[in-house]
Amino acid sequence: MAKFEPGTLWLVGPLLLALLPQTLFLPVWISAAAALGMVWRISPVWRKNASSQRLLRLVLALSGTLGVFIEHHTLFGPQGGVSLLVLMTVLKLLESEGRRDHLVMTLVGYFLLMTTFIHDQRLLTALWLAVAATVFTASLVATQSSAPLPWRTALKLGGSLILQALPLALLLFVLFPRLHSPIGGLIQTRQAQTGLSDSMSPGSVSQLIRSDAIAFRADFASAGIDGRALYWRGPVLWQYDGQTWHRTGTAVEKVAAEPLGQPLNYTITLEADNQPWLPVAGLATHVNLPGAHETADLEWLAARPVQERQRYEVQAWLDYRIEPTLSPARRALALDLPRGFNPGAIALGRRWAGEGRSPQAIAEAALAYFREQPFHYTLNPPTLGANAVDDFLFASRRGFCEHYAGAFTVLMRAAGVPARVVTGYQGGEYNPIGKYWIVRQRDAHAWAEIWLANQGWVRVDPTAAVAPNRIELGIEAGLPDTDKSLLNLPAAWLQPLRLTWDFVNNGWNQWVLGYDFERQQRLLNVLSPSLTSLRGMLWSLLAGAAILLGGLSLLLLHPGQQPKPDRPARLYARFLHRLARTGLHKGPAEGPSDFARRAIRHRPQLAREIEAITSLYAGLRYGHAPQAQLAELQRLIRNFRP
Amino acid sequence: MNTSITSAIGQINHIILGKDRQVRLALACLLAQGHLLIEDIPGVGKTTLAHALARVLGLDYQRIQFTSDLLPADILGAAVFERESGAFRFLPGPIFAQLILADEINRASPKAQSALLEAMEEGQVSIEGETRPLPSPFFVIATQNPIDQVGVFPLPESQLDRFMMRLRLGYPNPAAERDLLAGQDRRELLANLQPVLTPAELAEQQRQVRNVRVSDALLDYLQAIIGASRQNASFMEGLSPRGGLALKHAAQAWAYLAGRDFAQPEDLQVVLPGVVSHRLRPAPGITAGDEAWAVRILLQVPIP
Repeated sequence: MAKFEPGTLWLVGPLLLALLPQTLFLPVWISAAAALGMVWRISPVWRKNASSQRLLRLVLALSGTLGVFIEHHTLFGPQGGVSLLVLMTVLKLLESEGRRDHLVMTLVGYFLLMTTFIHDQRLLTALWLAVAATVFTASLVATQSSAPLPWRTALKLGGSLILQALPLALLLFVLFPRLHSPIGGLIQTRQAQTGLSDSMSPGSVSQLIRSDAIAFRADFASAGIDGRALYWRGPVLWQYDGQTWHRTGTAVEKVAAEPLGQPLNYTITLEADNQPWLPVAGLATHVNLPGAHETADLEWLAARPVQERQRYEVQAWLDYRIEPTLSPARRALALDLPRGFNPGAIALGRRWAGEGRSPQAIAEAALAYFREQPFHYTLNPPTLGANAVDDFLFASRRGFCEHYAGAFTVLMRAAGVPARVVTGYQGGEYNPIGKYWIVRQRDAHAWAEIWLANQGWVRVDPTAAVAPNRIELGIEAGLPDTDKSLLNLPAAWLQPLRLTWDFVNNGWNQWVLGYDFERQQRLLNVLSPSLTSLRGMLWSLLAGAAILLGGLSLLLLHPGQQPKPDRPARLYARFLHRLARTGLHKGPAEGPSDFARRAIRHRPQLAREIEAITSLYAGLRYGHAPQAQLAELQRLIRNFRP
Repeated sequence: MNTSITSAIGQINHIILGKDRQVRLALACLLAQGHLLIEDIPGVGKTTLAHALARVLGLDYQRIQFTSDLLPADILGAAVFERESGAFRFLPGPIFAQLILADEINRASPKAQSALLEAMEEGQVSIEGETRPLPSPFFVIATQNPIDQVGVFPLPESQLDRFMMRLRLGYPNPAAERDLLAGQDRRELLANLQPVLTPAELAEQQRQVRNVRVSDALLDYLQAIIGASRQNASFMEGLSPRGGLALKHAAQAWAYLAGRDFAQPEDLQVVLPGVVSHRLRPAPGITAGDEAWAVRILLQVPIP
């Protein structure tokens, strides 16, 4: 078995670390090709035919380029460019030998590390890349040093180099001028996992529920708010086609809205979900995100589907009255039911209406129906037929929140009460370390709103009638035990660890990834208002870098404390100082007798004194001279006037 | 300093003309109980210097001419069978002398070299399972030709380290050369040399050299030099602890020769070239330039 050379391992090892996180985003065939290339490079086969592979490498380079072009339809940009870079790096690996090649590979490796951030900006990835950068530096240290270094020493040296660079990196991070807008299109967030969509059919919310992904984090300005009690509004659905609920596509005139009571301030950090909805609880008067706008249904929408993490501050009233008068057109829309579907439900609704009940009483009757009949709240409802609502109401009676919200709205409309379906989030988890609420896709919910004269739209949550725990304690408590395995629930004992990790991640998102132009301005303004100008930033950067580098070099060049010079040395220094004023300087490596000879040559008239002082000094500092001579030396030097 | 050493220096200077500093350094090396390596081209007086030192110091002297077919037994001696007594008798080799002149040491094979070098280090030799002490004092003055000449086996670094000093004589200056050309035959002069010391007196002088004071301040300087040799990237490896000790002892001897009972920075600086230049090698990629490159670097170390 051939033994691997350390040089080869130093070449391939760091590259492997750099490429591992990339494999999540690279086309599979490129990752496979990279792995193959690395194996080939460390195998003895490579060494045997190293020189005869020139043609093969050329062919591989050309076909690889073609492959990248076929895959991405371009050789540039965040996808094609990185793919090509990875392929070419591995090909370069196949012809790398010796110091110069190693240097090139390391520099390319550093660049590869940075390209990872195009796709993935998570804290864990950053930590991984920091380790990889340390290993790259260690490999540079190990292979460029004059004598072979053991790997431990090289790693230690590489690590200390990275650590020494850290303060400078931090300074650059804080002070380097930020752009007003992110670099357009370069940073790719990972394709959104899931989020609320603008339609709802049986099963759509229960699919979303299985995702562990975080939807957003909410940070309330005032303490003591129970985030679980809030309904975070997403899309509001009006149109029903017998199977699926849709939003109305039509733009609606502004409707009257009146806040009641005290406002509530909170900050939302929304994860990218490729949807335009900005979850907001209550009637918001202010959402400070550029391009955010409100619809008549109290939905807040971003200008574009959210593809990067967004942070917005909200002022909202949890008590409000909206649309106290309903226009005939909207009323018609809120009562519309598709013809020929769900005759049973329609008949039930009409019966309630025929009994002359008030709209409130009709809603109560529907909720009582859910409560009293054997309905089950489950993630695993049976498949429903063409008349989905009828099947659910009268046959299966097993469903998730979208079944209840949908069926309830159909019943209301059949009874002549204007109603609509609202989707969004309800519930969440409190992080006591960071004092904020975490709302996940798992907390997705659907409920209904009915319109009552003078009161406007009023929220009715039929799920609460079936599974009150779902509303009060969250989704985990609302589901029967058999369904819990369908959820991505973490183990209870991991809870503190998980919340701490979420807190750290949130800090990373807020302060590192979210450190944009505005945050920088705000932070620098706190430090000193003069820092906020471009000139201020650049000057303080320069000054800070100079101080850091100067301090570091002082620290490195003078390890430990200088021993205190003894008395003869101090006296002699005074003697030297006096001679220096006459232009006669002792070299740092010049011995006292040598210097005395030179001094006498320049100033023969001082010969006697210089000789006496030098011999006393040498005797005291290096010889056996008694301490009594110290006074003599002191006297001579005091009287020494060159 | 006593007159005998002054007179020794004077006598040798009569034979080796114009090389006062090298003669003093050689003497300092022997007073510091170190072995001496003289490296130069043939014919500049290496052997004469060694011979002269042996004569004036009154040491019993053996010369071993190293050749490529020299065997360890030629140096150490061997047991021979004696017919009269019917037993083996040990015939000591030339190594059993107080001063050995190992001439052209790098012409011998590494095997023969190591026989000598082991004796230098241990002060004794082991032959046929029996350990025999070498006389005291025991000095080796080795001469060697520059490595770039033909037919030589360069001494490995580990063995170079055993020589306290390596000196080069170099060509004499024109005036000295003139005297040499015009003067008497060197061999006759050598024969006329009178010993100025007895071995007991020499031992006493060596003891006094070890008593020369090396103050803390000077040790600081010595350590700064050693540290510089280890930290400077120009050197393949720094001075060994043995190298550091050699530097100290040589400086003591130099101070003793100057008539002082303490050593000072200049003493270190004077002996530095002889002590360090054969111990330091340039790191790969560093061009040494000339012989004095290492010394130039170390002489820049500030005196604390």
